[in-house]
Amino acid sequence: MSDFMVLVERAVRPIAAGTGRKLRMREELLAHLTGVYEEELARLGDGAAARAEAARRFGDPAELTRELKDSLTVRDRLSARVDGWFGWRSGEAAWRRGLRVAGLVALIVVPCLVGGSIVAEVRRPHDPSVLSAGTLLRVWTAVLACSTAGVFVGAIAVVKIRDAIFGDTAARSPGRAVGYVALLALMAPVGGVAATLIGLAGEPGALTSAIPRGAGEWLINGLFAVAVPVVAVLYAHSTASAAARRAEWARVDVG
Amino acid sequence: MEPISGDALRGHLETMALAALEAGEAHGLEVLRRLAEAGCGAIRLKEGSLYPALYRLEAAGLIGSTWEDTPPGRRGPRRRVYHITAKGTRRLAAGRAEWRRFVRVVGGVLGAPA
Repeated sequence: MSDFMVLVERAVRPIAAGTGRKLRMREELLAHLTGVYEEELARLGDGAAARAEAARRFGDPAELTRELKDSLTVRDRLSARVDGWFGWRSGEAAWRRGLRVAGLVALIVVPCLVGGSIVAEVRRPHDPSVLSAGTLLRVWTAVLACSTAGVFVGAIAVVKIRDAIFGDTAARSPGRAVGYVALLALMAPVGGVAATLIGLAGEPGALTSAIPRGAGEWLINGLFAVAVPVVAVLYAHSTASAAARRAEWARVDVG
Repeated sequence: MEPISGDALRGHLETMALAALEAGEAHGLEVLRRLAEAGCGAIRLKEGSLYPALYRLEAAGLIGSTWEDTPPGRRGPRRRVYHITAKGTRRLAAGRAEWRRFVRVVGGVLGAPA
């Protein structure tokens, strides 16, 4: 099987397609090679000869790479770009990926902040309800800080939860999973308090405004405290199998 | 019969794959078996080359695919099973008509019977 994985990976690794697409190509081509090997083994009765014949029938991996590249659609190429920015990279630590994804979120939020500020400056002379520049800056700083921090912590936590619950048997740890789930459960209400404190920095009564008041606010915080970890665990479960297969293929030495 | 190589087949592989799937859904290896059987063993193709053709057909909506439910007792990686769509059936009919015209025209030029 490992010889066949090398052949397949030589053909697929150079292709600029999304990770899901490439994983599908790998699995199909490996299944094909395995099927051919079984055919040839039944015909020839010799494992080494069957492997050689399977490789011959499969063809030149470099030529297959060219043909696979020609079969890529615009969607495949776009998916490759998005995966390159946001997606998994072989050997990358969870905190580095979290930092990268948080940085990309910041790149989205900052232009919105700048655009919103410009629109407010244009409208303010005509509309007294528009927030002052100082208030807008505090609000957007709160949004930027809390969204990037939340994405950073969430990205790390999802990977850690996935490894702790669904990863290699030796690496599984229910205690670590519970810890990260608890961290995510705290993140929503703490994030809300932090956003309010940053947004109202310097204003009298900022601290009391940040603490949830009334049943309604506590209910909303409670719902987020439950929903965020549930979503994270479900996402970790849905991506665990593909993540393990991607990691397995990434370890293949194509020479 | 002299084998027909991949280069000569290249422009027709997609239509042939549609014809192979017309008989029923199949994974890639089964498609190649059907082509080999229909071609009386004369079709020589680097088997990996079938998959880019299948991907193009799928992107064009001419075939669809799903992962096979692995039968109990079967080991190894899972296989993708392809089926022809209604659009693919229409394209196959058009491909056959085009091939008959090609054979008639080129056959007439070469002086070979159609």
